[in-house]
Amino acid sequence: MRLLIALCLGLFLIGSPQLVWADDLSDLEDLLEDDAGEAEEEGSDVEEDELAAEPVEEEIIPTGTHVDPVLRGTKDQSIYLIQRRAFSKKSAFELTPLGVFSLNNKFVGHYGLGFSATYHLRENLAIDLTTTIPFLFGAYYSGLVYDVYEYESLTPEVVDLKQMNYFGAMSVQFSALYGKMVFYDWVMDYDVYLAAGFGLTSTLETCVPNQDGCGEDVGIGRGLRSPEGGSDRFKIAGHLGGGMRVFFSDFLGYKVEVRDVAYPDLATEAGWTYTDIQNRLMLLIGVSFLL
Amino acid sequence: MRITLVLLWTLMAGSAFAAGPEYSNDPFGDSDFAGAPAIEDSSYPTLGRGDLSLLFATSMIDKYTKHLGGVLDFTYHFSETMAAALSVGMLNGQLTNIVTDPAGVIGNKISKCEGSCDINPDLPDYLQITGVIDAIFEWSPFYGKINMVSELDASMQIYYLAGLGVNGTRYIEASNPVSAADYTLSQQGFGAGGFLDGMKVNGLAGAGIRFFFGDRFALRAEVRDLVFFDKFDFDKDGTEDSYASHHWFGQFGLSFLLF
Repeated sequence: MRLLIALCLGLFLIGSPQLVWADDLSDLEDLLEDDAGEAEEEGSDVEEDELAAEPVEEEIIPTGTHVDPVLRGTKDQSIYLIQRRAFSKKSAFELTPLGVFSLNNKFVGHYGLGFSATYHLRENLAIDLTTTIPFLFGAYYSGLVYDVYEYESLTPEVVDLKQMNYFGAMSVQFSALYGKMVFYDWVMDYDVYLAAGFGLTSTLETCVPNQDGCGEDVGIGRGLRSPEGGSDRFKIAGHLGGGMRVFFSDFLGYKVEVRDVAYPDLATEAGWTYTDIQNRLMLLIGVSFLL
Repeated sequence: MRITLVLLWTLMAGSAFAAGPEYSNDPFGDSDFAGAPAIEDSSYPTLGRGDLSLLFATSMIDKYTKHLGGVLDFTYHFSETMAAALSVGMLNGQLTNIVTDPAGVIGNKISKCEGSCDINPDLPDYLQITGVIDAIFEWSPFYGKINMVSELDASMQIYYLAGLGVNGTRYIEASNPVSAADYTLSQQGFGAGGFLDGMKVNGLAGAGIRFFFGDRFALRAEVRDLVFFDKFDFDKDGTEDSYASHHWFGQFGLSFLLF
């Protein structure tokens, strides 16, 4: 008896999801049959002159589809779920010239130009190479640094005054969310993606102006140079971020991305070594071309 | 044991034929869904509706003060893409480490001080914001849907805002220096310094996003740049010069659509 109950229970567990699906499908089939039946009945009764008249609008509420109460009462005002992407990116290369700006400019801000090349392995998975363009990417000190130097004769710790003058990274992008957006009557596809990867970053350190290869005073009593010997010039950086990719057509769109470039940094002054984990929050904006 | 085996066998055997239905863009072969526009209309049209939002506010890219607080915002959508709002907020400021550290601005002054001296910071952008009231114009040209878990779509609205209003300010004074790490700060705490005391006229600009969850609720997140004019003697000639003091805020919270 117990064996029989167990067998029945197992079969029920297997069958129950199918019953639910069957219910859903039968609802849809009923709906379609009703529509077809109604159309046939109407067709048999109406006269030819009535065919020319405007069709009577009926409320249609497909199963599982949201219909706003405001829109009820008019035909086909139901809100379709997102059906499909208008433009496919699978197996396509995407090239994007970028404008790059830092967002958390507490002591140091960054801006310049960059470039990214992305290969879309799948519709929602891509490999991305992003790099700033040397000599077209630079840094500046924020107003706070000048203010405390000018009015309080202070400077932040030397490690906080180091500037990032290059970053490049290889990342994996995963796009779990996609959608469509309308700008007045203009419909656009977009993806929201997460990106993570590793890269290389180079920095400049502060120094005594016009000595030992140091540059001129940048306004805070210090100049800038590449760290001596290059040992501290390049660092491995972790990249973590997310962005949105919007496409207007099958070859043109734009990309907006925010990424945190995190790397360990150090600087020495008067025999003291200062260390910090730098987090540079970067905004990347560019026009994308799908090849 | 036999019962367990039978149960396992039936469950495992089930997987061989219990695959779910495959997704099809055109399940009934009538092209009814094929190519159907994704955005047929707004799921949650805001025209003629009013929403009340309670937002948590935090300052970003802090110089000498970090602010935390709350904002109550009523928005009336007078067209499909435009709205007017009234925003009232209250904030509490706290000095950042660069001011309060022993090696910071105040500590440094105390360390250098011999006898009686002014240990208060003499810096632009030093005032803290207390209360905020703003009239806001909102433009929301983007309406979209995002596919979250296969069949669930969330509607969202991206908006830009600009506003004009007033805000209160307070100046934190340092006194009773004992050491670089030991001194007293005035007007600490939420509500200290009044709501609109030290009033300044401000302008603000920003952008945000609303995610609609049902007819009545939306999640809202936005960034605002609040600017007011202040004075500071930049060239140390004894006369104060006007300058625009920028304060960035991130705000997020829940909106309730009242009507």
